Amino acid sequence: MTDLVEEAVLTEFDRITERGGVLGAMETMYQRNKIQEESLYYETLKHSGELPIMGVNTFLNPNPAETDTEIELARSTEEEKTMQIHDLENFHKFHSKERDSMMERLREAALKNGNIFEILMESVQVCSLGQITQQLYQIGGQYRRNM
Amino acid sequence: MEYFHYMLDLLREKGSGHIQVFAGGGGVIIQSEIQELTDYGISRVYSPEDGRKLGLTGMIADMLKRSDFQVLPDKFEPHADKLVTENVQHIAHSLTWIEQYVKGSQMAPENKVVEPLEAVQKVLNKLHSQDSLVENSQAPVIGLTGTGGAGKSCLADELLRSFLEEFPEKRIAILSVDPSKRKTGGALLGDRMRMNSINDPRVYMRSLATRRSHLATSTALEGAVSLLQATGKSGGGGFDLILVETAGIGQSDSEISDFVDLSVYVMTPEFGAATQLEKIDMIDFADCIVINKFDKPGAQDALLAVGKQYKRSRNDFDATTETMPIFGVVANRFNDSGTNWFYHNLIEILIKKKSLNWKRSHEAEFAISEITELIPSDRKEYLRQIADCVRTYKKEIRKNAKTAAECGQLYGTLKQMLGETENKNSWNILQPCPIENIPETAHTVAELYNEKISKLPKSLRVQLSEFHENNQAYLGENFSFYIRNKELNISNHSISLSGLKIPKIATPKFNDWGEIASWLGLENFPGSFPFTGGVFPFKREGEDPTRMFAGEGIAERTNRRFHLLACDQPATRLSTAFDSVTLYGSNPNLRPDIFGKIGNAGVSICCLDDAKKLYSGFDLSTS
Repeated sequence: MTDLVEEAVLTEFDRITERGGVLGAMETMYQRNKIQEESLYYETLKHSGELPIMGVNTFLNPNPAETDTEIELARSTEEEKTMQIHDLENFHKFHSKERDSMMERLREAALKNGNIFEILMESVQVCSLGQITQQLYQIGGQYRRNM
Repeated sequence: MEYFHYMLDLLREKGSGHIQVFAGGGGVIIQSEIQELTDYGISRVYSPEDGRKLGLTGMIADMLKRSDFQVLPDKFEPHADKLVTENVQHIAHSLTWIEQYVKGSQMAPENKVVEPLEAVQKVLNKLHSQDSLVENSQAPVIGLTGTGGAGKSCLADELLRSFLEEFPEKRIAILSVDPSKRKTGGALLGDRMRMNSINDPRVYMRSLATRRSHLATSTALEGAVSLLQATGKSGGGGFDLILVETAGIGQSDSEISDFVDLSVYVMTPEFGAATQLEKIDMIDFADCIVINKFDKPGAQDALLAVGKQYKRSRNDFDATTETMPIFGVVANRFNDSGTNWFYHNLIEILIKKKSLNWKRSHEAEFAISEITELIPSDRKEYLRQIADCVRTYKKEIRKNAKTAAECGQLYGTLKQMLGETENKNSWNILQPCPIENIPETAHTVAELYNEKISKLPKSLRVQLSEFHENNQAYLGENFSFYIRNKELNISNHSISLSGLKIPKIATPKFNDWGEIASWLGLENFPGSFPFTGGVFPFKREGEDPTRMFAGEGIAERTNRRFHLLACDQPATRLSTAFDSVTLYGSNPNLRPDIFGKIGNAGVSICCLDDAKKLYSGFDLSTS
């Protein structure tokens, strides 16, 4: 079993290298396709019933209505949500003076290909998560999905 | 829940109630919620139950059936005074109208065929009867064309981003044309998915299908462009720039250069032999040529070849790399110098060509994207190197195992020839046999043995000689070993209910040197190289409590949960689930699509203070 898995991994390494390394393979979406293919295969088996799964495609509950009972769900309350927004506003107000200069430093570091992480460690003291990500989006754009 | 309501409300508010909203999930949406959502206007929520009944293809067919209807209002006609950037809906409808009724469109009913330009002209004439449409329009049009997969969308997105940043007042429209397939008549309008910068009120983006598979440009395109140029002509907002991106399907699609002010041809360094360039019409017509993916091998050569072709086609043999509008870029790289330079020049050329009075603030220096690679070239084949390394190692092991087996056999032969008594003080196992001390009859065997044994690596010889002794360690009561300078004593056995002592480690039973050598090389004891049985000699006794996973509501609530989970436990193993707002890097907001997700399925953490609250009372700095 170990040998089998090991050999499978090594062959996969070879296939990726043939496609120009991890980045090259990502460009043709080799890895993604591979995962999608496998999950489609699994779904097909599930749908055709070739792969029996109890409660999903075999031995279904004959009286589904009876099981429709209330389950307690962990959902946040209205109060918590409002409080979170309120706290954030306070945080913004409290650090409003230092924010802009820190944002500028972050921008500069990013544009000059400097060490962003170093500035980030300082930025979090005065900037909120959203402010930092927005700033970085503005400079560098967002991930472009490859389809 | 909030999100769907919000989405539907927004759609209706913008007059787009006709857009069908579908939902689906692995059962996160419960039955009563599904009912509520469909009552509110969601077309259909696909539940796991549906998946079981319909299957994937069934669900797809159902969705398509529900989405197939006419979107234009009855008897719709574009109105010039409604064609303003503020009225996106009207622009969209007008474009659809053009697309449906122009000549050559598959969708046009036979009796209602209209020539594209004529159609627009007719509408505009109602208000501007004296003006000729084309002269009247000011908005310059940039055409972006190129082979499929050359990265046109990506480049367009970058241009867009730079344009919006440089001209904070200007508005831009993008038309993306994608090919229709001859067989199915369908088209995948995928460009919008790759464009991030279109998410701006100053951008209007529309995808069109060619409707004719062998052509890269849509018949409706000309009409659509004129319509966009006409937008805002009767007061109200208009567009300052129109970007047309066409499907790249072949080498001869210079059609686009006929009705744009400035055309850009996007290609990659991988065009084949240099003679292929001769076939590309667009090199002769384009105002700019962009070689994208300039980090690919052979990029510099491509630049040279394209440059030559450019010179040939224009009979301008004095041009240099700096003066030719040929750009090497890597559009999908952050802050790419080549892309910056290209954008700078593109606008510059456009301003000159159309004598625009745009004030520029963008600065850039001549640059062609360098080939600085994310992965250094000697690491390119790293995975193969690993695979090779493993395979070479295994080969070596097999070779050594064979030699070791032969040594073992010779050792056995020698032992039998010399007899047990003489063997006593003769020589150590796996050491060369002292030939002078043994009878002459055994010399040939001993010599052969010595020769073979010298071929075994010294480390393997040591390992082999120590093997049986090491094996013993697992047969006693306890096994002791050191981890981080701490001596651990662990019992070698677990005792079953019926009192049987079951060894935790099953040690190999074989005596053949070859078998042992191969086992040592490929498996070995747990905690020894190559660690096939694990990196530690034994599983630790007294397992730590499972990880304490929590994330709900706000930091305080999750913190309380952490304290409950960690209470009276010998060790603390915190693990946090963040809500999707946090995971996507957004701040909590009153906007309903965000509001509904705050603190659900994870904890909301948006600043350092939250993080401090989250882990307060726990010492994170000691392990």
